Amino acid sequence: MKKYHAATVRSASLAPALALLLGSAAGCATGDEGDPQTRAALTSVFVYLRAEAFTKTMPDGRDVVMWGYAQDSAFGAHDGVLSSPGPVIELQADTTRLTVQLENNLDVPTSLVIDGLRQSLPAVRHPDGRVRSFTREASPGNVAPVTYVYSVLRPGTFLYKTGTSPQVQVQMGLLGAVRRPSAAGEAYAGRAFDDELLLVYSEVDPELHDAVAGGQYGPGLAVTSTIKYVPQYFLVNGEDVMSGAYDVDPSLAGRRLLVRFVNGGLRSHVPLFLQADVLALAEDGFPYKYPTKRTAVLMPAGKTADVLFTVPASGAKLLYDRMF
Amino acid sequence: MTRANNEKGRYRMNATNRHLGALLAALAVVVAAGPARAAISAQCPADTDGMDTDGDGNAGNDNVCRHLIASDGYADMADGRLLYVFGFSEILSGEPLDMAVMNHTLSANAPAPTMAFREGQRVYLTLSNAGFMVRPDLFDPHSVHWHGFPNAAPIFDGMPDSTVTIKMDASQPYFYSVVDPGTYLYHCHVEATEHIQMGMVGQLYVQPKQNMLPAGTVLGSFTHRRGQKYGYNDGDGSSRYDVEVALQLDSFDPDFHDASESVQPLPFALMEDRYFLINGRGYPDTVRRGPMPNSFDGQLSQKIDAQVRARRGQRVLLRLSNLSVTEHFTVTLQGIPMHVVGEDARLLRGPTGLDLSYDTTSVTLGGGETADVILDTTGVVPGTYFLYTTNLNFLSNDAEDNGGMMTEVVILG
Amino acid sequence: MTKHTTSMGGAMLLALALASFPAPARGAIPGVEGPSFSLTARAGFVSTPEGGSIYSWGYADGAGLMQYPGPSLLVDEGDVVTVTLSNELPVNVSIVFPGQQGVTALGGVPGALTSEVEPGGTPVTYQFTAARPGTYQYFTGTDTQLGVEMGLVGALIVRSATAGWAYGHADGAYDREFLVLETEMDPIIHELVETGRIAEVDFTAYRPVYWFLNGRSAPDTMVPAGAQWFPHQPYSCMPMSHPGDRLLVRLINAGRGLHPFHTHGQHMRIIAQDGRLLESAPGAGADLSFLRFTTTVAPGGTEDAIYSWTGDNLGWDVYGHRPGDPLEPGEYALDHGKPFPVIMPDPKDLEPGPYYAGSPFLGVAGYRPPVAGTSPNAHAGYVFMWHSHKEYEMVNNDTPPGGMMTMLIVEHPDVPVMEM
Ligand SMILES: [Cu+2]
Ligand SMILES: [Cu+2]
Repeated sequence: MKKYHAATVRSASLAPALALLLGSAAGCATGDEGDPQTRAALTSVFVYLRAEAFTKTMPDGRDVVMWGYAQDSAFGAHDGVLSSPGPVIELQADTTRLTVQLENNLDVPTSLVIDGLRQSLPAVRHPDGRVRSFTREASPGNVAPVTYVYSVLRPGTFLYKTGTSPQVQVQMGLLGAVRRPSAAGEAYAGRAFDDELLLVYSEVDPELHDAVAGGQYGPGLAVTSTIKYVPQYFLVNGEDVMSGAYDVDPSLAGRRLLVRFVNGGLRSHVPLFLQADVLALAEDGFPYKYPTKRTAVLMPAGKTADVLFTVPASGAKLLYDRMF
Repeated sequence: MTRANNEKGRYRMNATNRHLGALLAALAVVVAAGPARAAISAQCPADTDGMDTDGDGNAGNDNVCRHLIASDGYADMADGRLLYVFGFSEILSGEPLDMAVMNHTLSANAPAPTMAFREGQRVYLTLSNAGFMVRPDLFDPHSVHWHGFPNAAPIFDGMPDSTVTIKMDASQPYFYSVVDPGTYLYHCHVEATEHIQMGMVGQLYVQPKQNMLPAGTVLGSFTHRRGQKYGYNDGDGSSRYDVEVALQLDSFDPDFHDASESVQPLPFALMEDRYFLINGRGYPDTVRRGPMPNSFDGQLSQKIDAQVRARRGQRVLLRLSNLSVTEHFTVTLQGIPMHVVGEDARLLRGPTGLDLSYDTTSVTLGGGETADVILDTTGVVPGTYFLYTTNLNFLSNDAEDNGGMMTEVVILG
Repeated sequence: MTKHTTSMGGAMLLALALASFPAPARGAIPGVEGPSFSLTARAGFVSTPEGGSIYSWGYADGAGLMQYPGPSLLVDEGDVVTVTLSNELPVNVSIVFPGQQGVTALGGVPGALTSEVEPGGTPVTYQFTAARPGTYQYFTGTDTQLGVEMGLVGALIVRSATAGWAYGHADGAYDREFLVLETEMDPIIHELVETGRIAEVDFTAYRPVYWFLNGRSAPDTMVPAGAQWFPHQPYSCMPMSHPGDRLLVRLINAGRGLHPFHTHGQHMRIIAQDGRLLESAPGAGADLSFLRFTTTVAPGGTEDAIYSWTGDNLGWDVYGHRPGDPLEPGEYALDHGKPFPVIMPDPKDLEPGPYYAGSPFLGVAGYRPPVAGTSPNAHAGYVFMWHSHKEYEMVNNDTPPGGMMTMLIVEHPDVPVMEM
């Protein structure tokens, strides 16, 4: 697992090394049920996520308080680096169980859901009966981890995010990606790839961030709802680059490139390919029965999409967002 | 090239005065109109063709008559704000037609009464126009546009430029031979941007003849049993369901509604919706079961809740549609995947029979688009699940947080 | 509020059109024939229905006027296409061709997506082989956000080797073809650019209030192509049909927003997306095609739809025949002679629309109240609105109706179909 600052193509040949890393991580983890040492190391992945605020300096020099996730080596270890999107949760083809233990260093409750996975959700409600959290919460400064277990996994690309007041907390940055191949170097059955690119989209409304971080968000306060959301920074993998393009280098010519898109923003975005059209393999980790070719990929809020193409001799360009 | 701005500096009555004014205007019109308003009529021919076109075994009941009346009224947003709306209500069979205009004063429903029919029925729909009690200065005609009805003829399509629309105190018949099952929607098409924003929208769907098959009929590898229902004539049971819930997405701009109520210029260019609705309600009103009285005069103007209830193992058909005039919406159901079997009132099947249905986590609909989604609750842990827009800033009732486009799906054990 | 003035205006323009333009037998989409093009990016003014004009940028055909959208580039499958771009704008421009592969660019200066032409700089020549038939778009690859908003967009149509087929399969066969290219504009941005204040343009406050089909807002969409009072907007959007005709609708979202495009009268069969036939295997035909009554094309993307209004299965005879009358060509025989199912109200209770010819029947004119004026629908065709169902886009800067809207006219089989 690694933090992704810049969008970089990852070779599928790295996968075995990562699997080893994952295996050792799982081996030393403590889970919510039973002794982790007795479980088959490669079928279970443990991730320790810590939700916490951090400050990001935008390209125009403005400091914006973000909420993000860090991946620690153990609950309370605090050795991970905070980012938004949070660290990629990497599952392997034979991973049958994902356990996420959440530490909450924010000053409000938070939680974790993975969109698209079947999940039982013990909701938490506000005193007036409205839902506050889709699932069990970690209270601020929790001394014991809150554990989320996913045992119905499938290949694909998924969005994880906070399940608590998502209209506030997701735009603050509490989101990230989960990916799981169907086999080493294979996205879905019969869809092999040589290289892989993961692009997580999100948006930042700095005024809203200031209000939330400054205690000015809530009933009776300066900002009472997210209705006036006006994002000003458009992030791809955490950097304000959505106005630009990704260069698929001609040196990759002839290689099969898998691009995994995750839209963690609240608005639609449309990645557009030039010099190539791509096979739309799946949405939300569900493979299409009959994949079709596209150049423009409509990515509504919360959507994930996987596309595959063979890089032409010219290389290719990926305009991050034709709606930008 | 300055854009029009009708909002800034505009005199705004406070809510109490505004609604009181409306009530006085309404009373004045009722008194003035008196008994002369009697031109409400309906056409409802008997089914005498001797053919059982809807396949229910009865050759004499294929003609179905419904009667809508257009008026204005009020609806409550989930933050308690009362909005002036235009809309349809229903004149039920047996209601005295000479009293209909009086009885349907300020009776606009938000959304309009749901129109659900069976394939093979012949629908005689009457639209009457009661006028606007709060806006006696307006003389708008109205129409019914059955959005998506295949091979429409303009006379029954409701698009005012190419047909006739009904003036106040009069009634116009519409006819539909209902032969294509699926999820449609309907709305008034007169001054479409304004009348749809003001709430003249409703749900419309047609159930397939496959529901009428004799028990034991084999459909591919599936055997039809009595009472089993389907979204489409799928021939294989793939669109079968146990529970059917129609959810219409919509949104309102309160400034537009207030401008209409207080006879101000309408802010078309500045239109920005701030209430995000399912079946005319924002969360948590979406899960308030049954009809909801408005806070103006207690009329049950928001009749349709949006809660979904099913027993574990049942299949739920969600008939999703969007009639917002400003937004596409993406909706997801946390924890339960969606299987899309139909779009725009057509089974997702290619011309040579390829199965184009698909699984997904969310569905995106623009205004005038529909989708039929099957939820398979097999193995779903009983409890409450949340269906909501992933355009998360729309989880607001204007300035109130924790609301907007969300409802609850209750899976019972 | 009842204000039909704008649509009546459109109706009158249509009447003019019907009176003064002869009808060729079967039209094609107007544009510039390839395979070699010389385009110039320059400024001009886009007219809006209420009499406004918006400073815009666009591609011109050689020395011609700036066009919005740019010239529709018409080429044949297999052509080696060259597009030489010159630039008279104050900023760099370029062209990208989504859906085309192996596009080379000669000259100019390097840019993020492709080579660019500097203001007054040496032209760039783009070249590619139009390997596959289909509907595509082109737009500037330089500061795409501003360039697309300002108007630097256009259609590229690669015609199939088989005449009358959109793609290499009979599933794409059509009788008539029409372009529907969607865009939008926020005039405040254009004003800033016009007055040299590009640095002040703020897209976070972006708020389009004009909405276009083929570069015109309704009702101007229904004014014939090439009309002299739209020097910068040469293309109309006026689909015409006979019952049963297969209309190929080449839908292009060249703007930046999502527009749910609704066709009254009938579903569209979406047979291709982004210039690719929706087929499960090469040669299989459009076996993955699907039906839509409203379709949202991704910005930067295209769809090809087949639309065919037949009048089938309505339960009454749309021609108003008596049972013994002969069938019209292609008429749905099972409804032949079936009576109109309801009694229409007294005309005094009805508001007739400008295209209402006075009867429910196709090709049959009837009573129109004198106050309603003469209908431009001279042959009593069936008129169906095609429009964005994001209905606030059916407005011209605060004035409805207008915007992203036009009308399809289905004429009686005996009436020749005009070409607009
Ligand atoms: Cu109306
Ligand atoms: Cu509609």
